[in-house]
Amino acid sequence: MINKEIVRHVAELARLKLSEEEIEKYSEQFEHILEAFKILDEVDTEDVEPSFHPLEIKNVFREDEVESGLSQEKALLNTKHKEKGYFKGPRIV
Amino acid sequence: MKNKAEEFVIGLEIHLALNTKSKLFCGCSTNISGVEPNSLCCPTCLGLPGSKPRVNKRAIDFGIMVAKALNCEINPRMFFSRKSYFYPDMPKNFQISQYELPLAKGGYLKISEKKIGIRRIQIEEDPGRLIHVGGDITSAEYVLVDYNRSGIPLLEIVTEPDFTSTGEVKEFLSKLSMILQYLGAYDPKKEASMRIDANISMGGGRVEVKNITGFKAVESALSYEIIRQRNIMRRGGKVVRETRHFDPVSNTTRSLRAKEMEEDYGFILDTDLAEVAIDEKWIKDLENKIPELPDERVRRFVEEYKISERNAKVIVYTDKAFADFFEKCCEIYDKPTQVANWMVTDLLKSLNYNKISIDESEVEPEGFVEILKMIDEGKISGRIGKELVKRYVASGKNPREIVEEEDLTVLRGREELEEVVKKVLKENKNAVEDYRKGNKKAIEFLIGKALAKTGGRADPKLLREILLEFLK
Ligand SMILES: [Zn+2]
Repeated sequence: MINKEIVRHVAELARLKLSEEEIEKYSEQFEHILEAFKILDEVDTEDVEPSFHPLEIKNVFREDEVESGLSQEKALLNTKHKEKGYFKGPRIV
Repeated sequence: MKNKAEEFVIGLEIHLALNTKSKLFCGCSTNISGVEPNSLCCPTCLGLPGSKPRVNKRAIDFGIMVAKALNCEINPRMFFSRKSYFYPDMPKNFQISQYELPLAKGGYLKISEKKIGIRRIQIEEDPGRLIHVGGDITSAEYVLVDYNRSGIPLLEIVTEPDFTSTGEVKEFLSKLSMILQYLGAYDPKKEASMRIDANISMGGGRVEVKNITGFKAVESALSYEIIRQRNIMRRGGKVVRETRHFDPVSNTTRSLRAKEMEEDYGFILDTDLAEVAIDEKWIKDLENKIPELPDERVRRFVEEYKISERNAKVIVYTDKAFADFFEKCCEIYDKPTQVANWMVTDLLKSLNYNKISIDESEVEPEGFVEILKMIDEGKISGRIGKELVKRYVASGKNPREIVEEEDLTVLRGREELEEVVKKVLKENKNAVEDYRKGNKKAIEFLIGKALAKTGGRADPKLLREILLEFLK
C-alpha cells in the first residue's frame, strides 16, 4: 500500500519539494503504476537466467593511458557557482 | 576495568586509491597532487550529460590481484551499479560503484594472532574533494568542490567484524598496505590514498565512524569512540545506532544525522557499462604476475640469509624499499646477520629520527656497507660506526670520506693510549680504589672514560689490556 509517508520519503530522496495536493495526487498515481507493473509477476521466470543488461556485450575496456581533458576554465564554463577555480555547492549535512 | 558488556568488535571498510595512471572511467590523469583544482577533468568525470564511462582495464587487473592475494573468491561476472545520493562531491548525483555482483567475496588476511575475514571487495569511483568554507561539515556556509579526484579508481575492502583491539586494526592495515604496494596496486605516498570507515559494536549498539584518513587517524578515531561508548554504558545508557564523523583536528567523533539507509541509495545496474566477465585464464595470467608477497619474503630471508625471524619481520614490514635495501647490501657484503642487525637498530633509528624512509634518504647500500667493512677491517670502532650511520642518514655524505677527512680511524698507537690511560687513572681515583678492593666492574667504568677521551676512536680491547697492566 502506498501512503503519503512513502511518497514524502521518495520525494525527499529525489530532492523534490511537493505540495500536500501533489502528495495526495501522487499517492494515488503510485498505486496505479505499481498495479500496472504487477502484470510482470504473471510471467513464469522459473528456469530463466536473470538478465542484468539490455545488451549482450561484455569486457569493453580502455587501456590505462592518460588522455587530455578540459582546462580549468572550460570545466567551470557552464556554472556561475564558482570561486578560485572551484565549484561552489551547498553544505552537505 | 573491563567487563563482558563492554567488549567490542570492529569491522572496517577500507578505501584504497588504485595506482593507475588514468581514472577509472575516463583518461584523465590521477596525478592530482599539487595541481590546480578542476584542471584534470573531462565531461565524464564532471558528470556532464551525454558523456560515457569507459572502464580502465588496469583497475580491474589490480582488483583481481588484490582479491587473489587476500584469498577471495572472484565473481565470474561482475557489474557496476549506480549509488544515488545528492552531495555535490558527485556531479552525476550517483557514484558508480558495485552492489549486487561485486568483484570478489569471502577471503581473509592473516595477522599474527588470527585470520581477519574479508567480506567483499569492490571497485568504485572516488568522489570529488570538498572544502568546507566558514565552518566544518555541519556548519559550513557552503562547500568548494574540486573534481580532480572524482573518478580515481578505489578498491573498497570490507572486513568481517573480527577485530577486538586497535592493535589488530593497525597490524591489519599495515599488512594490507604492504601487500598492495608489493602488487604495485597502491602508493601510500599519494594524498588521501587510504580512507576508512569503521564499525564499532559494543553492548548491542553499532556505530559507524566515517572520514578516517590514514593510519594515524584510525587509532585516534577508534580510541576515542571506544572510550565514548564505554562511558555511555557505565552511566547505564545505551549506545545508539548511528553514523559519526571523525574530526582529525580535535581527534573526536560526532553524530551526523545521516538520513539515508542502504535501500535509499536506490542501487541500479549501470546500463552505460557492460558486464565484466572474469574467466580462469584472466585470473591465472594475473596470478603468474603476483610477485613474492611480504610474508613469503620474511620466510625467505630467514632461510636464505639465516637472519632471525624478528629481524626479517622488521626489515620486510618497515617498507618495501627497506627490504630491497637489505638484499642489495647482502649482494655486495656477505654478512647478512651484520647487515640486518645494523639495519634494524642504528639505521632504522636514524631514519625514524629524521622522519624519512630509506628511499627518501640519500643512503645507498654501498655507503652503508662501507661502514660495516671499516669496522671489520679494524679501521674504525663500533662506536664511530654508529656515529657514522647517524651522519650518513642526516647528510648523505659518504662514510669513508668522513672517516678520511676527520681522521676517525682507530687509535692503535700504544704510547698514545698509555698517556690517555694514565690521565684517566689520575682523574678517577675512586674507581681505581674500588677496583683494587675487588670490584672488578670498575674497570668497565674506566674503559668508558678512556674511550670518551679519544672520541670513541680507541680500540676497546687494547684499552683494556693497557688498563689491566697499569692496575696490577
Ligand atoms: Zn575525466
